Amino acid sequence: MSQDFVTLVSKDDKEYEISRSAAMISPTLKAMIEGPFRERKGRIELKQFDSHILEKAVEYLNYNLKYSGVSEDDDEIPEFEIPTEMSLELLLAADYLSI
Amino acid sequence: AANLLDRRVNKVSSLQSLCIGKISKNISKWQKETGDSSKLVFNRLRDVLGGVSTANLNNLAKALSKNRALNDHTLQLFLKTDLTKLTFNDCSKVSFDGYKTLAIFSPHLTKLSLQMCGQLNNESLLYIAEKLPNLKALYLDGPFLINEDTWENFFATMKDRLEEFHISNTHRFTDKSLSNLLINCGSTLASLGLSRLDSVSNYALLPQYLMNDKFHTLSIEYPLNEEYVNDEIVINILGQVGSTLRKLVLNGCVELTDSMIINGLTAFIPEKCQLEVLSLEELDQITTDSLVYFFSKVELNKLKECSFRRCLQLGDMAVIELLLNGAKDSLTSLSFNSLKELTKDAFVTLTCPDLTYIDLGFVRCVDDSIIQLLGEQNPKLSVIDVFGDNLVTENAKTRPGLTLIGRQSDSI
Repeated sequence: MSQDFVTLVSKDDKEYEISRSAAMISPTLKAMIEGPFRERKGRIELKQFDSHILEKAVEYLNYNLKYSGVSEDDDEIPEFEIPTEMSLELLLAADYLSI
Repeated sequence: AANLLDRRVNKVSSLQSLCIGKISKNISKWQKETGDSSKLVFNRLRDVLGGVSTANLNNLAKALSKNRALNDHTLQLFLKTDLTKLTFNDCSKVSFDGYKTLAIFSPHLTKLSLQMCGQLNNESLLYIAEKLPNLKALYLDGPFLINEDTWENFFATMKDRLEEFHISNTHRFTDKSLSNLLINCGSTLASLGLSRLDSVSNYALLPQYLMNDKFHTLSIEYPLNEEYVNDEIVINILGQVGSTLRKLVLNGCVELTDSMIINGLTAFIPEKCQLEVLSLEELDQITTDSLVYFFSKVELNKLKECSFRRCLQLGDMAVIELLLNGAKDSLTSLSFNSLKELTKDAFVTLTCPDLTYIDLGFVRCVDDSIIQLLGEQNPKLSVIDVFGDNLVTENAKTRPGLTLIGRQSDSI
């Protein structure tokens, strides 16, 4: 449990830094972080996803982290914007990450 | 209230449901905009939503099914493609109209699998047969609206081109439908699956019609009455197709006894056999002796998956003999679930280089030391099911990459 951030790497080698607690929202990433392959600490390659898809997924994880604590009665949760043109690909990524 | 039941305290929806919502909303919007002449919508649909490669379409189908979000709207994503194989794991929300459009706009399909296709009706099944000229393989689960006449019609249309047919969970598929299937398509069928068909009793029809010398997959599961599938019938079938069989599934045919193993399997499966999958779940009458005999006579060099789940009488020797057989090097998946007679001796020789999964649920003798041993002896093993094994504790030593599922001490 040493570092507070993990880095996600997309197909075109773009890197996205994300807080450990946000990454842990995804069971898939959680398994990777806690799993046996820890040689390259805190660096997770997700080469099947384009950078714009991964960026959006990271954005969602942060969004989820920020608002999941907000109580039921609060109506202040803003809507998470998904651009129409990436909805299909994003669905595949979301399915992979189980988020 | 649903959230409360799920113990959910927040209302942040998952990214998957957000995406699906977005997709559905857009499809409906487009349909409204273009009015009733909307047949062109899906031509541009995938362009607008961002393309998905043909290879990924089946993944998309999986993701939609998992989220129970496959319906007539989202179905349109799969129209007008070059797909030749398509699997929908949950079609419960697809209407008969949906199936018809699918048949019209995906003419290249050769293999179609529709699970939970409760709304598939007579008209749409015949549509599928007519409009998909290349269709060779059809897997249906739950097509309970299709009646006897339509089955007859359907098999007549598919005469001489149906190569794979698997059907499960419908009470309207009767003995007559089965005989129609066999008479029309018996000579071309290479793969046949019958599971939980409550109106079929005459399984004795099978042997005389399965004439294809390339027949490779037979799956008969859970007949309504156990007496319908007896030793004699299975022996006759094996006599007909045993020499080419690659996959044999007889789960839940509890009437079968050692006679089937000795006079059927051992007698008709050639010494150097092609068998890749052997599943004999819940056959509680078969014994260690018959299996030892079978394993000693037949070389199972290609066997990958093997399940003896709930074959309650099996003991150590059956396992040991299986591992002495050539199967040791090819096995990837094994199930000994509920084999209560097994002792630790059975696992000493369990060293399979390719084994990735083993189900040891309710095998009471399994303890920490066996778990450690299996991990050491089987380099590729990644999952062990240990439900109900109270001797497996948190102290079990597993190497990295090996997961135990169902351990009591892991409860949250």
